[in-house]
Amino acid sequence: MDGNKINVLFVCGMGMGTSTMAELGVKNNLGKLKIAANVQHTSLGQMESLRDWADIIVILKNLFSEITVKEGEFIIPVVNVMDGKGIAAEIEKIVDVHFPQAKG
Amino acid sequence: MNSVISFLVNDFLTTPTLLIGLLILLGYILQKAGPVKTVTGTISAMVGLQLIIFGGNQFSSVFKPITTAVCDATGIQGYIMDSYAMKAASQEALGDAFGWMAYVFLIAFAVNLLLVLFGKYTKMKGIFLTGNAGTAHSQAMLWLIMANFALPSVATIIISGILVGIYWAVSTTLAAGVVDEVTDGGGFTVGHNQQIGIWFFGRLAPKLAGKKRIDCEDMKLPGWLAIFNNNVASVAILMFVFVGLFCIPLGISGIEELSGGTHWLVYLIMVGIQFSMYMVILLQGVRMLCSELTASFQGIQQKIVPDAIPAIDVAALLPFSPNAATFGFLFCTLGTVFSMAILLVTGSSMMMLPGFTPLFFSGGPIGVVANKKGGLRAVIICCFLLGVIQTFGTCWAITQVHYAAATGWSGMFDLSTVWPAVIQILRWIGNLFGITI
Repeated sequence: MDGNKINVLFVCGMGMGTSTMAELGVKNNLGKLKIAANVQHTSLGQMESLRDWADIIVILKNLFSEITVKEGEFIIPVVNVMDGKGIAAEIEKIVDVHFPQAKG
Repeated sequence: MNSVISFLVNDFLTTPTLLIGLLILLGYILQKAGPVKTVTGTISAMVGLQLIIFGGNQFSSVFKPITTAVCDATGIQGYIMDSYAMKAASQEALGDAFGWMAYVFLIAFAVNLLLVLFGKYTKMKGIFLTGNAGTAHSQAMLWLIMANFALPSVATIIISGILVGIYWAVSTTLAAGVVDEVTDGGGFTVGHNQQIGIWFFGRLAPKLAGKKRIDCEDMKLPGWLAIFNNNVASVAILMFVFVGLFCIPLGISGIEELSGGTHWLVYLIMVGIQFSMYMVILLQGVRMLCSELTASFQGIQQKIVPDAIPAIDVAALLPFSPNAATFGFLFCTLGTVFSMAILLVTGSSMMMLPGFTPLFFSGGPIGVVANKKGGLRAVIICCFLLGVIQTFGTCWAITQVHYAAATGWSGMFDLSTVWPAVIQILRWIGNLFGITI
C-alpha cells in the first residue's frame, strides 16, 4: 500500500504489449469506480522483483498455473486483456473486502 | 546564430536519443501533460531508449565473436532469428540515422489512421497500437529501404513510413475476423509480427482438421514445459542449446580459444545467461519508452476513429487456449530444428539460430488459432509448417538486409514472408528507375 492507494501489478509473457493494454483499460475503469491505485506491468520472468510491491496481481490465465499463490496475496487470472471493465470489477470485489480505504 | 543552427543540425539532432526525446517532449506539450509529467516522461523515455541501444549492442557483441569463429572454421554464417536480434542489428546498421525511425513511426501511424478513417473506401479497420513491435518495424523498414535503394533521406523516411502504415492497416484488418472467432468477440485484433500468418493459418487449419478432432485443451501436458512460459529462463536455455550446437564445428579447443581459456561448458552457460541479461535490459528500456506511447496512441485512436478495432500484442491470444499455445511452441520449434537440419545437410552458407520470440510468440498464437479451427492435428501441421516457413523466409530476408556485420533478423511470420516479398517487388520496380542498390 502507498497511502490509501492499492498497488496493482499486470503480468504477461514479455511484460510489454499485453500487460500494457490490460493496465490502460483497467486504470480507466478503476478511476470510474473511484478506486485509487498505482499500476505497473512486467513479465513472468521478472515478476518476483515486484511481487512484494503488489497488493493485487493481474496475470494472463495461461501463466497463472506457473505461480504459487502465497498467503495474503490476491491474484486475478485473466482471459481477455481488453476487458478492462470486467477486470476492474474483480479488483473492486477484493478492494471492498480487504482494502476499503482505497475507495474514495 | 550559424553556430547555434550548426550545433542543432550536426550535433543535437544526429544523436538519436536526443532527437527522439525532442519528439516525445513535443508530444507531451501537445497533450498539455503539465510540467512535471513532461520533464519526467521525456527523460524516462530517453533513458529507456539508451537502455535499448546498450542492451542491443551488448546482445550483438556476445554473438559476433562466436559467429565469426564458426564462419572462419566452416564458411557458415550464423544469424539469430528473433525480434530483439533484429532490433539490435538494425539500430547498429542505422547508426546516426537511427533517430529517424521516430519519423517513420509517426508517418506510419498517420497512414494507418487515414486508411481507417476512410474505411468506407479502403475497408480497413485495424489500428496498430503495439509500441514495442511498431518501433521495431519502423527501424527495420527504414534500414531495408536505405540498404536497397539509393534515395534521398527524406524520401527514404516517407516511403518507409507509408509502407509500415499500409502493413499495419492491412495485416491487422486481415486478422480481425479469425481473432474475433478465437476470442469469442474479444473486441480486438492482433497488431504484432504474425497477424498475416494468423489469417493464413486460420484459413488453412479447417482443411487439416481430420476425422477425429481433438481439442488441445482436453489434453494433459507434462508440467516441465511450463519453464518455457518464463521469458528470462527461456531465452537463457534456448540460446545455450542453439549456440552450443552451432559451436560444435569449433570443437572444445576452438570454443576455449574463443572463451580465452574458460572451460567450454562454463563459457556456453554464461553465453545463455548473458543473452538473457541483455534481453532483460532491452525489455526494461522498451517498457520505459513504449508504455506511454501505447497510451497516447490509444487516446488518439479513440478520439479520431472510435469505431476502429484496436490491434494489440499477440500474447493476448494465449490465455484463450493455454495448452494449444504450448503445443504450438513445441511444433514450431520442431519445424525450425528440422529446417536447420536441412540447411546443414544441403551445405547452405547460412545457419539460423532461433530465439525465444518467433518460437513462442508465433508458434503459440498460431497454435491457438489452429486448435480453434481444426484441433490438435491442425496445430501439429500448421505450427511445424510455420517453423519451416519462418526459417527459410528469414534466409530470404537476410539476403536483402546487407548488414556489414551479421547478427540477425526477426524470424516472425510476416517479416519472413510478406516483408521480403514486398522488398523484392520494390527492387524490381526500383531497377526500372535505376535506384536499386
